[in-house]
Amino acid sequence: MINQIKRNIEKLGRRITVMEVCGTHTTAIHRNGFPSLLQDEINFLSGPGCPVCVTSSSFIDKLANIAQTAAVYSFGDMLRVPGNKVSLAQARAKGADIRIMVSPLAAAQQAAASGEPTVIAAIGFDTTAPAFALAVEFCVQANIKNVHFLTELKTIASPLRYLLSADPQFDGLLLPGHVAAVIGVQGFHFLSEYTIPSVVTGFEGRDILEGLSMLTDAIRVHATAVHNQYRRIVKAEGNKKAQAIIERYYQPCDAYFRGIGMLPDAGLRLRDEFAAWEYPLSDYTETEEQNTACRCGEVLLGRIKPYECPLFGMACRPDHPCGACMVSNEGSCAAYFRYGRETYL
Amino acid sequence: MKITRAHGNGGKQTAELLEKIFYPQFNSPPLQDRADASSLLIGGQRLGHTIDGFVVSPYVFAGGDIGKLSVCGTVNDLAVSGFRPLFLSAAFMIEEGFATGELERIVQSMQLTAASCGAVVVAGDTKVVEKGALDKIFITTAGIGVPFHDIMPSTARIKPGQSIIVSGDVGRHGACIYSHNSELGFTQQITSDCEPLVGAITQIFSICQPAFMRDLTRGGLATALNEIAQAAGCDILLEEAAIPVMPEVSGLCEILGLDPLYLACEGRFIAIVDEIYENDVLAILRAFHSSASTIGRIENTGKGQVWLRTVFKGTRILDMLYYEMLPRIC
Repeated sequence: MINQIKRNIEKLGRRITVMEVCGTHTTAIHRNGFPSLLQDEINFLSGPGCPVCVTSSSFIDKLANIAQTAAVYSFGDMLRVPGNKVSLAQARAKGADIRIMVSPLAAAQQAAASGEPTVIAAIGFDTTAPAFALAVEFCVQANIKNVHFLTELKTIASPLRYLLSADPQFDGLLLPGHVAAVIGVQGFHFLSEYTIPSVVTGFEGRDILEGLSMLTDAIRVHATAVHNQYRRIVKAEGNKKAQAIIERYYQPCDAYFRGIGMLPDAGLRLRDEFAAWEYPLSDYTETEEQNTACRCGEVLLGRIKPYECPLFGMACRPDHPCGACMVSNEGSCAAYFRYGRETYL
Repeated sequence: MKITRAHGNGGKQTAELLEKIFYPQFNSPPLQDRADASSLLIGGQRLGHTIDGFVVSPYVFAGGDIGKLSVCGTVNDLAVSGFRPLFLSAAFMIEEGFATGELERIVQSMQLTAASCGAVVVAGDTKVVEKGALDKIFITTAGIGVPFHDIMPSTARIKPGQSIIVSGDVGRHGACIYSHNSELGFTQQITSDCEPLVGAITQIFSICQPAFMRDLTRGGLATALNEIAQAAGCDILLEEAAIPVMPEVSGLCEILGLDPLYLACEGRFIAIVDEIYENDVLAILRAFHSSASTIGRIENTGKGQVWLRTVFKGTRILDMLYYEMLPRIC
């Protein structure tokens, strides 16, 4: 497979730049050592598809604040992300009630049984939204009053449009297989309006190599359609059941992406009829984003490599991160630091 | 700064706690050696001494309980440091309301495990705290042992070209505890690897003096190898394809976003031996676990970094654990 990619690139006659949209891909690419295998052929760029990385630091502030008076359930990889004042892990060490969840539904059921005031932090992309919708459905159907959601769910289409409209510096896109499992290949069809080929790709090392082989081939022959490497999981129409439950409980809204700003229709919020389950934040004042030297925004847009940020590996390391990209399991700075810093520092 | 759970995971932040608080105060040479067990000279006799606290939840898990674990932890620390464990002591901290029947079962399993390695529990202490002050039962054990051989394992004996052997598949204890505690309701229960290593290590000493050994506990294989590489000042090159991981463990890791190379083991160790002993040591270890395998070598270059050649033959760093491994979003 490696040789096939190398042959495709040789025929093309130049080194290409590929953006992997999703943080899980970034991590898998580096964990498998692909940059060392394809250093003369492919320049890998990370995109804005790490849910933890694009979440605003004020979302962390809100959760830390809420956890003073209510139980807060969060996914584990949010815990160390710096807020403007503290991370959730630091808040927890000071006594805030922050609990790690794996399944939002299980968290909602546990919280409902306890009767304690509880807030579930709903973040993630299209992949994760159905899991939160199931938790909301449980609360709605059982009329649970003590569980609320703080929702900052996002969809991947809008940031991709943003990237492709702004003079993209890459030759092809690896698209996240798990998002495609929900929205289908059809969910990415808008990409054919642009001139950049893309391949829906799975996450095993073999999947990624096959995806890259298909992508390099598509770049060579200018096949700008959306291709699908992850056929064993991803159908053209996606997962209808998952789409239906998202549709039932959520509606599109504008959303804030860290490093990008507000994007139209890039988020999901609870439909008005279920608004009673959204945590009311009426008395909350937003704090400004800090860490101005942190260039996470440019990293998330693939404008710079993680190691081009002046903080990378110096002030910003996994044990004292300045930005979310150095914290998350899916963060590109974390992947570059953990798997390849000798090459970059 | 406040203590967070990351300070207890055996990784970088635990190391910082040792450097900043413990070592400066308890400024004793054996402690400064930073070995799993301290080597003490008393009246001309060399003795190994170690202590370990156990707080596992749940206190009974597939393949063991906190009692078995607390004995394994201490005898294994002694054995990998080159000492045959002889005497143990145990302190029990128990939450008010704990069933005596459960306590009896835990103590029985401690006695069984200790006896299977030829060790005797000779001192103990019991404290009961009010409900809520701790989670059911915590046990601390300490142990004393005598050297298997005059030539002790030491990072100073690690040399380029030596083979790194792992005694069996890795990450199983950590995966077992994650699958117990996860609300996902995994139907397939992974059995912990919790077991004493004294038998295997006794046999290894009967054929050679291993350069160095380390049991893989908190932080797993990756953390242990990083500590060894740094202490020895040599790079380590591992072959990913040779590292044994049970499919159930890699499956769970994939779902939860964990890395098996960082998951705790409680009955696995690595032995670093001269290449000429590699096959004999492997034969001994394979009689216990057929998955025992040579996973890499000590390199003759570098400054203490662990490198992994992936199954695709790419190369990348295998880093220290920087913080508590946390389940991911997607």
